[in-house]
Amino acid sequence: MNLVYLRLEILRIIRSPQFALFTIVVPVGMFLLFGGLFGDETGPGGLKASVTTMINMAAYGAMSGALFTGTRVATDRTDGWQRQLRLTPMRGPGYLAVKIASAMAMALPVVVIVYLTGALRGVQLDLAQWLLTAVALWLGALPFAVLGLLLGLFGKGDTVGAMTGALMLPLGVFGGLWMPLAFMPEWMSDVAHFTPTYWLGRLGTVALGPGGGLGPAVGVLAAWLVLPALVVLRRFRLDQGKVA
Amino acid sequence: MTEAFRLRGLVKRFGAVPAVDGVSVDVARGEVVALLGPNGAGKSSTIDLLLGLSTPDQGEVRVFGGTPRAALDSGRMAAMVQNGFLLRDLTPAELVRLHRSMFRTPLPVGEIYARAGIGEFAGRRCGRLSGGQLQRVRHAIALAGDPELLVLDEPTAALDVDARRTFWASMREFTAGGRTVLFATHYLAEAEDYADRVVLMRQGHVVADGPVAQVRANVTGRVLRALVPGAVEKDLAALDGVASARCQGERAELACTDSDLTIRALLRAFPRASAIEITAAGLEEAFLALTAQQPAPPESSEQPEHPQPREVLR
Repeated sequence: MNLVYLRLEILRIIRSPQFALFTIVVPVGMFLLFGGLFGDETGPGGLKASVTTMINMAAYGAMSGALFTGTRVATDRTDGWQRQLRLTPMRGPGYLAVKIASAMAMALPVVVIVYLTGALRGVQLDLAQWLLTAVALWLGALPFAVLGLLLGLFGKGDTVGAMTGALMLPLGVFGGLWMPLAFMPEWMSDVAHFTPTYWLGRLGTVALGPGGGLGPAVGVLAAWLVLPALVVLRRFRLDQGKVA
Repeated sequence: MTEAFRLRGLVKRFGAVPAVDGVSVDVARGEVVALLGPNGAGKSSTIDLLLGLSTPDQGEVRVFGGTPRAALDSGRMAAMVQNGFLLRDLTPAELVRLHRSMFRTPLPVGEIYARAGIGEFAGRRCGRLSGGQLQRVRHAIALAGDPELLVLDEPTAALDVDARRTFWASMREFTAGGRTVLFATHYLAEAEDYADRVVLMRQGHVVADGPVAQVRANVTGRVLRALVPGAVEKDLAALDGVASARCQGERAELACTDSDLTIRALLRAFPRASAIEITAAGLEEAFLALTAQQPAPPESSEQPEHPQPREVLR
């Protein structure tokens, strides 16, 4: 991977902070709101609501941080930057790798900031739990980075942002990130088991005990990673042939 | 003669319309070649084929004996394409660094800055630079891999007179070391002033190719004006030695490549032609004669070339 390019991609994100602002402010705000309202109650699985809310909001933030890579891919295409890159030795896979890495680089600080907020608001976990859940959530964002690429390859520059936002809401709701599945009608919680967001949340709680095994979460998320990745690889090649 | 690149029998169609229709050009190392022609002549499409940005329907492209992709990868060929986009949030210094990082033996940064003249504003974000400055940044990026062949598509389209002069001065420096440049332009003067050789295109064909002086000699056409009752443009254009014809009522104006042939043919076909007058055309008119559009086919033959200021050829 071209690390110079990765560094510049991250600089681009920092220099146009509207996405970073959105992806950080929303989950932190929601954590403060929900955590403040229900924080002391104990939810299913014996976890305090403040812990699950923190993990769910960190999951939501990691997802949006990763997904928004798509808007940058789309503008790269419509603005002609991809055409410019075709005049260099850089190839499609190298480009995609940098985009995914920059998406992951976006997801990490979101998790960290939500966790810092949690710590400040009195969430208590032992050190291993803090680290393991954070790493799990961060790695679990990988499928969303690929989904972001997928959106970016199909949509136009200005529409991908809206598409991403429109996708995040149902993913968050059906994934049980906004409210526990126990409060949902049965059909909704059935749907939830197919969403990557639900399993991302589960992945986040594995290290805390009641999350169930690691297997199903990793399996479903891997499926959400591989299938879009296949489409991206295929589509990106086609896209290159079509330019010019 | 060592070859820089070779285009053989290139054909590229967009739908049914060939944008490039049998173009063959060989360019030796050290040549500075202008690809000259009006809008829609197929210049940009030819350049896309040379750069490997599109693949020909027929024909072959060889650059330094290999594929365009190999020449781009090794840094031996570089290009400035029209409106090539630069990331607004990054600075020229960062873009140069990125492009240098992709080559094994990049040109030293200091040399890139000096040659492209970006030192003054290398630390400012591209979003805050003027059109002329951005064009210099594109130039800088193209130099990153220390290319032997530079391909420029309308390099001065966005520049004012001063910036244009500066640009060509730096190009002269670049080619002084025996490097090769191909540039597309529709400014006749630019081709005359800066190219050793002119390749003239019209409607996807090469209509003239040679040293500037030779092309000029070949094309010093004449203009024949006459009153020709009952004539239509199509018949007049078909006369011997006529490159293009225009009619307004009886008044006909023929741009000729060989006016001696034309006047004989005209009088044979239209014995009532009168008030005949033949004048020598300047190079500008000769250029127009050679590149004049023939009657358009039923469907629009406009191919998707980039919009250009039209008055230049008027």
